[in-house]
Amino acid sequence: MRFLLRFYVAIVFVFIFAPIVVSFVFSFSENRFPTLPLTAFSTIWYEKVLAEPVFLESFRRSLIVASVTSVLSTFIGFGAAYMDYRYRFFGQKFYVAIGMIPPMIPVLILGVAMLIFLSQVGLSGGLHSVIIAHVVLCTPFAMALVRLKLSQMPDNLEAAAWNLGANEWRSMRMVVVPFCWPAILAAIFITAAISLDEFAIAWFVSGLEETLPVRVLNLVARQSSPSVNAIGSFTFTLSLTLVVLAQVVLVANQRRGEKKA
Amino acid sequence: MTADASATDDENAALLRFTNVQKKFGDSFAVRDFNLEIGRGDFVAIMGPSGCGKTTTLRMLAGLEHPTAGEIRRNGEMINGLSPWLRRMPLVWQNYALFPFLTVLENVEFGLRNDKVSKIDRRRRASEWLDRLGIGDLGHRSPTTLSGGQAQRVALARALVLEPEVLLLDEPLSALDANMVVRMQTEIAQLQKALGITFVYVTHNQSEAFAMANRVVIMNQGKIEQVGEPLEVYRLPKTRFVAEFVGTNNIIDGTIVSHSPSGVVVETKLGQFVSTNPIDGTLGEASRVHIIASADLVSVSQDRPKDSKNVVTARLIGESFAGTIVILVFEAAGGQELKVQLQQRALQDLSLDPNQEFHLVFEPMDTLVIPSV
Ligand SMILES: Nc1ncnc2c1ncn2[C@@H]1O[C@H](COP(=O)(O)OP(=O)(O)O)[C@@H](O)[C@H]1O
Ligand SMILES: [Mg+2]
Repeated sequence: MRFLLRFYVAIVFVFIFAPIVVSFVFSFSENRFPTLPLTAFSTIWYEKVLAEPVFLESFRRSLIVASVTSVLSTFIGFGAAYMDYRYRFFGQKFYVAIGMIPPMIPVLILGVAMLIFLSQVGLSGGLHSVIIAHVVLCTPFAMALVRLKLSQMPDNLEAAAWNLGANEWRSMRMVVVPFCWPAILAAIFITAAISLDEFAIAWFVSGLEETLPVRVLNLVARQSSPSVNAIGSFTFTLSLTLVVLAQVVLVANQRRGEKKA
Repeated sequence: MTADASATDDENAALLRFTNVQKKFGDSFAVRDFNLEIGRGDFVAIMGPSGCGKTTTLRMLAGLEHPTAGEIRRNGEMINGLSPWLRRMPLVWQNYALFPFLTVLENVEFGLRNDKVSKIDRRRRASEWLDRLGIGDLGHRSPTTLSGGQAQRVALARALVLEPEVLLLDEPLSALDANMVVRMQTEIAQLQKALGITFVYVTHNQSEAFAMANRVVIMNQGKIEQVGEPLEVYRLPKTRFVAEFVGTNNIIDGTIVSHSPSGVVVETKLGQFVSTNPIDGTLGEASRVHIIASADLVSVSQDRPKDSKNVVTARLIGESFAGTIVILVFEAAGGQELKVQLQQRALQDLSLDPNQEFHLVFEPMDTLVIPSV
């Protein structure tokens, strides 16, 4: 069993991290073609990307989509998780299950479905379409994170706030949100990372307003340029940072929780 | 005119009054037929075994549960459906329920923030309470780093800083170790006296209740069994349940034979008993009753006393020690178990051999007769 685990970890490294490392390395190579041995170190490809308005524009769009999506889906995810925690109603389990479905649908199908739906209601072909589609995709992640945190909230904490004179809204603001804050932050980071990287759905619904991943794919489809390595390395670093930040807030909070127990 | 009438009503009204209060969860009753008056400045202990409805009663006072029938009035005003945040009846929770993301001082300030008290004022008032409860140096700490006793003090400060008319406490000492319990018990009792506010204190521990309260309420399966002063409930239990729940009582089943000038005569399988202390004087002949005798009021002798009334011969089958107090366990005719509680030094006059026969004397004055239901 231990052998299998090691083997699996090795495979993960070879097939996931190796390409990333390679692309990282070549992004700093002067040579037009990825050849070994490496020739001179250079940041020329990064400069090229920065000089290209199309890339900057698509990156700006990606940032807008990611930030709006992360805030919206975390907000909705928190609301849904809280409803599930606080109230008992008919068909509750069913609603939660439905809410959790989007990430399990293949993105191609989700993308086509979103395209058809959004054009039906006249909302297709713009950044707002990408945002709507990404919120659908990301909300379940936010909801799952907040739900987990709420399940750790001591039974009487909210009631204690009411008992001390805080009405429901105040208790929400002064007790529930602060208690869930690490999960909320983590949800913002994670959903932003998911949205930043998401290509397929964005490709279907974005119309002319290409986001960065869409731009990159369109570029690669025509030619292979080391610029792609530069963009890839950059976005990978950005996403990784977001994911690591999410981990850090969650783990730091858990540590504190354990100390209490 | 009606306004006048209601004004006088209010003056005479008890601080808190339950009238036929009932609380059902689904089909089962958590509380029922609950009638109780709580006066200003009372220290009321609600006592009973786990699951008897104590917490539900307290939560109804706090507005966290709403009665399914009956009325709860405060100063004559019905508060059945009043939201918890409008009641100002702070609760000290069994698990403390301190806010883990706030410091100790911020926890104590919480209620004052809801009152929109200025920052300087609430800092000062919260600090004063922390000092008063002897934890002034913990203000900046996180509640997650406190010991049980410290957390309990923070919970008390957080509630009392609101200067409430009524304080609710739900088994506040149940998570503390024995020494701490005794200390906190004394502190809480002194605090209540000094503040003169009403405490409604829920516990399943009778020594806690008897040490602090001036009125105790014994509950069983959602109903009140008995209400009274601690000593009264202890010495004059009205039902078999109360007799078993408080103190160490001997309970012997019997039937009333007659009412004689010397007292009520009861026939039991251990012989006849005379009692000058029937709880209910109207019990007729042939009524089925229990004889209740507190273990500390029964005397033991090796020689048979002259008068044979209220004397039971029994075999010693066991003994247990709690500090300087000894409980001797005897077995009488028909397997009836009887307990006698003595001071350790009183034992020195008796020679105790297992299986030896002794004579247990029940004074007519200390022998209660209660109806059997
Ligand atoms: N929210 C609830 N839902 C269903 N049953 C409950 C609820 N709260 C209490 N009960 C039931 O009501 C009864 C009384 O409970 P409780 O007041 O907590 O007892 P105590 O505090 O005396 O131990 C118990 O049988 C308990 O299972
Ligand atoms: Mg309870």
